[in-house]
Amino acid sequence: MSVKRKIALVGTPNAGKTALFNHLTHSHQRVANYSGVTVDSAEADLILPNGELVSLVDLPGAYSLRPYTDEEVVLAKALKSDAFDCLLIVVDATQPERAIRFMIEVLDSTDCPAIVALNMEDLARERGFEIDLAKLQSLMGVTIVSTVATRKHGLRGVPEAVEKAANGPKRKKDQFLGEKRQDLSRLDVSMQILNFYKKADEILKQVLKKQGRPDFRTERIDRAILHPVLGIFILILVLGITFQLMFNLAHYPMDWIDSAFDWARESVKASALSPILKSFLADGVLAGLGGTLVFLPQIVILFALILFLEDFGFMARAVFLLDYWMGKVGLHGRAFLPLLSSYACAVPGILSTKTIENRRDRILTTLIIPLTTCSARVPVYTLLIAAFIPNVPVWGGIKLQGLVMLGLYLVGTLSALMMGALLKKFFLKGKRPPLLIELPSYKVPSLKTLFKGLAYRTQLFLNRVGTIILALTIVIWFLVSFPKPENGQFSIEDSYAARMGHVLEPAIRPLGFNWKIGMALIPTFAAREVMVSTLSTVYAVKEDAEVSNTSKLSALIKGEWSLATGLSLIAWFIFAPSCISTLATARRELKSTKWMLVMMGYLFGLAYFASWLTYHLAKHYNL
Amino acid sequence: MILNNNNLLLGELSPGDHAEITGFCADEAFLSFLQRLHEVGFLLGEKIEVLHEAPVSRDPISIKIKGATYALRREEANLIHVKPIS
Repeated sequence: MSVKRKIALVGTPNAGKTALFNHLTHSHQRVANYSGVTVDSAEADLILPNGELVSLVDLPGAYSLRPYTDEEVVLAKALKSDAFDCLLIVVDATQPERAIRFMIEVLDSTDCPAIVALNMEDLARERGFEIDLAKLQSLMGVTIVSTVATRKHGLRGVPEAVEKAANGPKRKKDQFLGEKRQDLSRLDVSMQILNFYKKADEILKQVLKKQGRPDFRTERIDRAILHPVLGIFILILVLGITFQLMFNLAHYPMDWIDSAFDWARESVKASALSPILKSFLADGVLAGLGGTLVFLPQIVILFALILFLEDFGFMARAVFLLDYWMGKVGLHGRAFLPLLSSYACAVPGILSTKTIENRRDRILTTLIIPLTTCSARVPVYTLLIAAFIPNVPVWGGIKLQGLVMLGLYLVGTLSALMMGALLKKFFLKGKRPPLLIELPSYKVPSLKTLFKGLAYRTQLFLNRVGTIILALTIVIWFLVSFPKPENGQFSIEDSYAARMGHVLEPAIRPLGFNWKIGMALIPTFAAREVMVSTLSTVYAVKEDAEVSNTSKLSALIKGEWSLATGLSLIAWFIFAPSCISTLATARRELKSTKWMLVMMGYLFGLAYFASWLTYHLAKHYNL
Repeated sequence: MILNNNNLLLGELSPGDHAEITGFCADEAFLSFLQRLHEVGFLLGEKIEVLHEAPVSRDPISIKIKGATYALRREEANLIHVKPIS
């Protein structure tokens, strides 16, 4: 039996490693102009010219093989493991000295056959760099291919070179600096780094025929984006536009999805199927899927914008602009991207905390991520606001409902920041780890890369909808529809779900919640948005009427709950620990059940307290 | 800035300043971070230019070195000793 051979993709951050991976293979892996985006090593098939199918493994980007971040640990281990048949080393041609330094360090560390992709050849040429490639090849002892990873035809020659190297002999280790002692003192390490650079310099002098010009375009853009006054303005503008687009642009596709599901439900109800099957399809399956799929547009839009900004090079600048202020609440500048992603969904937010080097800071950021207003809260907020907040004009064209929604986003954000400060002060004490982040050259984001990144995100979301959420919806439908009495009229008050709600009622009565709310809260631990469809199901079954959209549902709950209850429920949703995927992701990423329990515990405590306080304050003021 | 002392810390420079690296803080506690700085190119004798500082706080600063740009907080930039050049 033949085993698929493995090729490792190794490179410095921002060298275009993931773009190369995307264009060589057909996998969904995103690339970004932001240090450390390759969070897990992805693997995909690559076909060599001779027809052999090999596996290309995208290892995390690193500045060196001396592990400093979690990701570099992964890389160093992988290179030591002997698991690969060939290395594909990707370096940035616009930084030839660093490129050569990295090459010799990697080549010295292993005897594995290797080839080098000298990437961004187009940009290097544009800036006037001239490198004697043949000379460099003979000095390095490996094949070097000039590449433009962002273009379709920029990678010709890579598979061929890989094939040749992978079938060739092993190389010699330690060719450049000789054998290295393993028991280096820390000062020796500094010397070793210096020696690598000296050697790189020596080689560079022989191969660099013409030094390139500085990257004037990046410097010009930076003069605006990092400008003392203009910079702040641009940052606020970019964030403002991002959220504007997320809500206003998403509005239309959301309406389409809503009406499509309404139509499907109507059709099912009008069909000749048996009543039980009709109820299962319309109130179970379709209600559940529709209620969740409806915010796919928001997720897609926010991620499209984030991916675009990352690829362009703006995200590293945002870290630069915000690091000081985030430090005021104990956060590292690098926590910005995870927190922003969390406004779409906490799961990718937590995944991207991998770029935070220090474990304590990573735990801190992960713990507060669930407080940001993820898109799953939006349908719940929308329902509750529509039911309990009158849409009176406040000032000019601004209405109270919109203002309350904005307020909920602010409360979420502020509580995340305050919680960060508190956790830092009392539990996760210690100095902030240093900031060292490259501000990469600005690049025109490639559409292909953007679409691949988006497709990947969308797929993650759809998988969740298709599995957990669908399954839950069906379970809930069952719980509210059964047991069917042998004779007489079925009433939801006799259902299994009602019994569970009644069991829960004593615990939630202080918050102003009745057993129906309790019932609807149970599945929210799996996914918040299911709240809406559960309530739809509950009231649809009870009233035996058409309660297919939010406005009908909100009218129903408005008649049944007091304002204090409504407000208390809103407060609950700002803080309550969910969803189960978030908790599971936190546990997996932090490799700690303890911290997951801490997260769950403090969120639950906050939610209970906030609800209780809201309810009693509202009662006190006779709302 | 003290005019007649040509040995400064990197964190004391302002945007537009050029300097040459003359040494590093010897504190053991910062060794691994210093190594990281070496790796990205902050080496003895290297020429640097301070490009930007973050608005309002004037911290962190961005530094051009070996053709790339890195952001550093002033506090940590102070691990690097420099000699201003004009």
